[in-house]
Amino acid sequence: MDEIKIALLSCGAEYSGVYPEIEKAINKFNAKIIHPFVETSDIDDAVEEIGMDVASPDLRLMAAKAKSLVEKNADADAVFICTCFRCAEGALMRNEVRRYIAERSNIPIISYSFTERTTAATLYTRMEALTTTARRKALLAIKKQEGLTAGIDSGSTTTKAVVMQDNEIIGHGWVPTTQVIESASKAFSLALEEAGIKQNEIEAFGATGYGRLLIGENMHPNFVQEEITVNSKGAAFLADKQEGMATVIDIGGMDNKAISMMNGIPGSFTMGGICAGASGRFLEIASRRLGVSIEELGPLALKGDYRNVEMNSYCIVFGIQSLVNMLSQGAEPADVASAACHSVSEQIFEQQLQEIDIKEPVIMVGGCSLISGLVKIMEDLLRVKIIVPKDSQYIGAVGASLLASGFRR
Amino acid sequence: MSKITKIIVSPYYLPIIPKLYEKGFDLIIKETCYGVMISGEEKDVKDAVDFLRKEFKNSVFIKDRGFPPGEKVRCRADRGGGGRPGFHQLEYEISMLPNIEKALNEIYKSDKKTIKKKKKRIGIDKLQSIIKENVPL
Amino acid sequence: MKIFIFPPTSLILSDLVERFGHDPLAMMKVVRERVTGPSLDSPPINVTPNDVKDGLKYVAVEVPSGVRGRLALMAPLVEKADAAIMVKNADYTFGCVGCARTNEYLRYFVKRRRIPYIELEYPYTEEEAKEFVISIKNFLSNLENKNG
Repeated sequence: MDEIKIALLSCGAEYSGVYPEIEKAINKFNAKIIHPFVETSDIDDAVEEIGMDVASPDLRLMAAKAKSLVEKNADADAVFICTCFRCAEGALMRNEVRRYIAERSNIPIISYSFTERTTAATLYTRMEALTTTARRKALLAIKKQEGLTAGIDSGSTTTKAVVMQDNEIIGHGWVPTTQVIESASKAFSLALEEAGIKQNEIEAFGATGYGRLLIGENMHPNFVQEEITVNSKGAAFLADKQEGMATVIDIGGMDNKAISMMNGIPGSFTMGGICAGASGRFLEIASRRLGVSIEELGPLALKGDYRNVEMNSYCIVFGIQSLVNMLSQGAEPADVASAACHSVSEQIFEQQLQEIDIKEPVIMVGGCSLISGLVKIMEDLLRVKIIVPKDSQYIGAVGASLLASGFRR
Repeated sequence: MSKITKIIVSPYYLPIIPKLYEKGFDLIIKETCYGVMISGEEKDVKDAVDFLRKEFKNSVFIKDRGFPPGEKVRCRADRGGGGRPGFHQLEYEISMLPNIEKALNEIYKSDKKTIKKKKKRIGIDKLQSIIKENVPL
Repeated sequence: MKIFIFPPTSLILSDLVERFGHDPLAMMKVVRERVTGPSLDSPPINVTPNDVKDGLKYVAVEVPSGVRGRLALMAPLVEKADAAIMVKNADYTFGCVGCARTNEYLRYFVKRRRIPYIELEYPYTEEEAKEFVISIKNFLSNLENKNG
C-alpha cells in the first residue's frame, strides 16, 4: 500500500492538544502529514487571491498553503483542513480555502472543526475515506457492476445486503441490527434467497458500515470499506448521476453524512454522529410517541405543518419532550410529525450542510430518505428538488456490490 | 544547570561561527539559513552571548529558542516540509534589523541619557509645493 | 524587571529588552520548559487537552480550544510581568501568536492588570526605527527611575 501524503492546513490544532490525535489518525491509514512550503512574501498575495481578508495570521498562512498546494509546489495526495470549533473566523476561512482548492484541483479534501476532546478515533472514518479516495482511484472509477457480486452494509440500526448481476439488483436483504455477524448473515441470506443464488456462486462481495471491520474478520469479504466512499458510488449508481457534480445527503439511524462528489467520487464531506437529535433515532422515538410506525411518519408529516408546534430544542430528550407536551395540549399528530422531521432536517442543515457546497442534483439516501416528510422539509430548507432513487435505503450495500466488481477473480 | 538554546541573527554575514570556535566555547553550534543556533549549559550560553554582543555590538540580535537544534518534532526535514510557524515572523523581523542597528548605533553615540522624540518639521520648499498643488489660485 | 513582550516570540523586542538590562518574558522559554521536559505527551508544543482546560482560568468554555490553549501558555507571562512592551502592527506572527482573538485578549489582559505598558508600531523606515528604539529605551529607564 502506497504511503499517502496529506497536506495539513490547520489553525489551532497544536494549541488544542489535538495535533497528535490528527497525526495518529492519519498514520493509521499509512499516510503522513506534510506542510506545504510557503514564502513569507506569498502570504498577503494568497489572502488577496482567495479574497477572504481575515485577521488571524495562522488563517492567512492557511490561505498561502492552499495556494502553494494548487500551484503544485507541494506534493500532496489529499488535504485535511481543520480549525477550532466555535471560531467564526476559522469556519469562514476553512470553507473558503476548501472551496478554493476544490475549484482548482482534483485533490480530495475533508474539513473538520475540533475541540480539545477530539480523538484519533473520531477521525478514523474520515481519514479512511480520504486516503481511499486518494489511493484507490482506479477502483473508484468503476461505474458499472459486472458479474455476480454482493454487498453488505452493517449499519448501527439496520443491516442491508444486496446481490447484483450485470448492473441490476436481483436480491435484497434488510434486518434490524442486533449482533453484527448474525444480522449480516441474515440479511445476506435474504438477498441470496430473493436472487435465487447460492453464496458460493457469488464472485466477490464487499462490506461497509459501522460493523464492517467485524464482518471483515468473520465473513472474509473481498474488501472492507468505510461508507463515505461506498455510499458515493452507490448514490451515483442508483440515481444514475455518474458524471459531474452531485451532493449526497445520507441520514442514517445513528449518524449522517453529507458528501459533495464529482463523477461519483467524494470530494469534500462531513459526518455527523455527535447528536442523536440529528439522526433517524429521533424520528423513531417521535413515531413511537405518535403511535405510528416509522413508515407512516413521513406521509403523516406531509399532511401537517411544523409551524403549529413549538419546539425549543433539537435534543432527543428535550425536543421529544416538547413534542409530547404539544400532543398533550391537543396539537394535531400531523403537525407534530412535521415538527419532528423539521427538527432533524434543520439541525442537519445548520450543522452539517454548511460545510460542503450543495451542488445539484441533490441525492438523498439512507433509511431516512424513505420518510417522505423529512425529504420534503429538507427540500424546503435547501430550496432544491431532491432525488430519492429507488432502493435508496440499500445505498451502502449497492455501493459495496458495485465496487466488488473490481475484485472478481 | 539546564541546557538552553539561543539563536543569533544578523542582517548580513558576520563571522559568528569562526569567532565562537576561536574562543572555544563548550557549545553545540549549528548554522541555519536564518541564523546561528547555540546550545549548551546556561552559563556557557550567556558567556557566548556577552562575547558576541561585545564583538559584533549592534549588528547581532539574539533571542531564546524553545526547541533544541534539530528537534525532530519541529525540524522541517522530519515534520513533512514547510517552514516552522516562527520562521515567517523571524524573516519579517530580519528585514527591519538594519534600521534597528542604525538606531542603536545612534543612541549609543549620543551623550544624552534619554533622547526625546522630536518631530521633523516639513521643509519650506515642500510646504510651498503642497500649497501650490492643493490650494486653487 | 520582568517585561512581557508582544509578540512574545519577537527577536527584536527580546533582544532590545535584554540589551537594555531587563528580563524579557518571551514565549520561547515557555516552549523550552515544555518540550525539554521528561516526556513529550502532545507534540509538537506539548499542549495537552488539560492545558486547554487551564485556559478556562482566563476565558469561558465557549471560547475556542485554540484560544484557551494559547492563553494557557501566554497569559501566565502577563501575570508575572512588571511591565509590557507591545507592538500593534505585528501582522506576521504565527503559531503561538497566530490567532487574532488570543492576541486581542493578551493586550487587554495587560491593560486589565494595570501594569505600565507601551504600545508601538513595527518600524519601516530609519526614522521610525530610531523612534521605536528610543521609546523602548526611555520606557525601560522610566520604569527603573520609578522603582529605583
